Amino acid sequence: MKYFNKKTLNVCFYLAIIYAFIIFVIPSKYIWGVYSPNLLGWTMIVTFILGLFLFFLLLIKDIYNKNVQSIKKRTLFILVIITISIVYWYIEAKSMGNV
Amino acid sequence: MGTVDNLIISIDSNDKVNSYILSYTPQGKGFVCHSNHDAYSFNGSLNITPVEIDLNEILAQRTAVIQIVILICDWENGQHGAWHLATANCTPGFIQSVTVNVYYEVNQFNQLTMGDYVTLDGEIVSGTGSSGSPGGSTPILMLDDDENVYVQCEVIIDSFQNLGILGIEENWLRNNLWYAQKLFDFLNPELFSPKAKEFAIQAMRDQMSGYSINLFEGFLNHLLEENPFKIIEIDCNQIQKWQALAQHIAPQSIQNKIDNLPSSFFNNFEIQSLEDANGTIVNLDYFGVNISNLPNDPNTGQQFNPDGFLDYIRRHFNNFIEGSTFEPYCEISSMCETETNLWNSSNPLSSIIYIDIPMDDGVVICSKYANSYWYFMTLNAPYTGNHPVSGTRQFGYEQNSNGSYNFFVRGVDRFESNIAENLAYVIGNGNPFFGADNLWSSFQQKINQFVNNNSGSSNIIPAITNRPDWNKIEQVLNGEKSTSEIGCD
Repeated sequence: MKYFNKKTLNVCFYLAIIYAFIIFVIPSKYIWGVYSPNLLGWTMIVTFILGLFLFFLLLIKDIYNKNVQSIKKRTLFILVIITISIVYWYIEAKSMGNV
Repeated sequence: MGTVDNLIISIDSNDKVNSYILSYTPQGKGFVCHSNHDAYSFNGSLNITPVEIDLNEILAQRTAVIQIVILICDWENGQHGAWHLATANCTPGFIQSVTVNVYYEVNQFNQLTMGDYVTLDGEIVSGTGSSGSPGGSTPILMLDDDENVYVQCEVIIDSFQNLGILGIEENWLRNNLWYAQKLFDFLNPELFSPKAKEFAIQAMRDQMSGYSINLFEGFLNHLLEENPFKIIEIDCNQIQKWQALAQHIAPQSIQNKIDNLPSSFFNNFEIQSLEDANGTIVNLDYFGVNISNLPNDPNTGQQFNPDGFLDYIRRHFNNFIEGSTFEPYCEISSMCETETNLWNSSNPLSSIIYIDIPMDDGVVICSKYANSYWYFMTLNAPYTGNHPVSGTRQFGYEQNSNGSYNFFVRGVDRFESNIAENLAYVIGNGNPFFGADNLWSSFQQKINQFVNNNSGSSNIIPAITNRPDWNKIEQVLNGEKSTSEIGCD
């Protein structure tokens, strides 16, 4: 179980979110087939879900250990990533005339 | 025939606005109207009929019907060795009526002074006048030395429509030209429709009372209040064709075939109906290629007829698309030979096609076939499951009035899964059907490429894609409500 300690999970969380974000910002045609994601798209979805899962798992652990600093850091990170993603999405969608 | 260059709008010393036609260029050999003159100039006022314009009309005006009378004349040698047109001996040439867009900015009237005038291009030309000739606000025509046409222009502007505003309101507009400009900018794209004008007047009165509203947004809300089903994003030229696809039902012979096909543990063959899909929006699309000269058959070197070319496309379908492959259904080995033979026959009705869509395969059935088109309906099928969308797609051609042909693919479908639609919405930057758009755009490009590579000529028609909410359009598509409900009269 030493590979699933908190420090490892924390690194996995950051890597998963960063990976999902990088894939998200590459052009849609590289991550989407015709009506569903392609392989790269599916890896993005899976890693993002994994990142969210790890976020809540680590949140529970930190609440239990009263590690407020760590909670703040991770929450800020994920909020920044999500905000940048939304802004990026909106700019792209607007430039394509979709919104 | 030549073209009309300028409709001149001028303001005289009494602040009265007049309009004139000032230039006309016949094919090949033309004359030009200039703001100044020389020995060959003519006083335009002899031939130009001024037309009164007031502010109401300015706001309402978009087009003008202009009748041009062309007289053919000779030259004569006048005094001082100068050549003049022998206007007394002119004979009528032809009469042409043209409709031109009158374009100018209302606020330019702020900048105009007596003698200035505004051309069709909106360019402000400085006042006329030079030595010993008419000047002021009267436009001057000047002919080039070797020309022998004399143009009599009569301007008949019959499409001015009074906005019906009161004098006090007109004065308010004169003092608030920024708002007059806003009204013009609003009414111009709305083609000065009675409803738009009615709304504009009310908005202006609100503005006079100190209550400001966004004209475009307000007008849309106003229309929606009148008719909640008003949908402005539907292409009215296509709606009846999309209705036909949405209402298409597979014939009983096909239903019987499906019912008798083998199944797997998880799936039977079953047509996926548009109504039973779970997507919130419906895709209505049209991707076409206009072919003015049909290509040659690469096998025979003979030119295709339209039926033959469509048949060629069907039999070599994978050569005309990119991103998916279409093959006869062979997931159940007992069906493979039958379906392959059927699809490759001259009548592929009821043949079942397996589509290798990346990460989400699908199956369709040819549910209608004629020489000029065929339909594919999506199927739930053994070993592939649901097709990702439910609906009907037509492949075919239509002949245009000029003899050319439009080869096209036209579809009406919805996402089978609401989750997939939302995912596609996010990844597709707000367009859940962007992957399908790419697929059918490749169909256009490949047909266009094939035609032009095989001694034909064609060009791609801009794609038409409408994605309204299913709830708003469902009753129109299934024929329960008229197309006028969505603004297609």
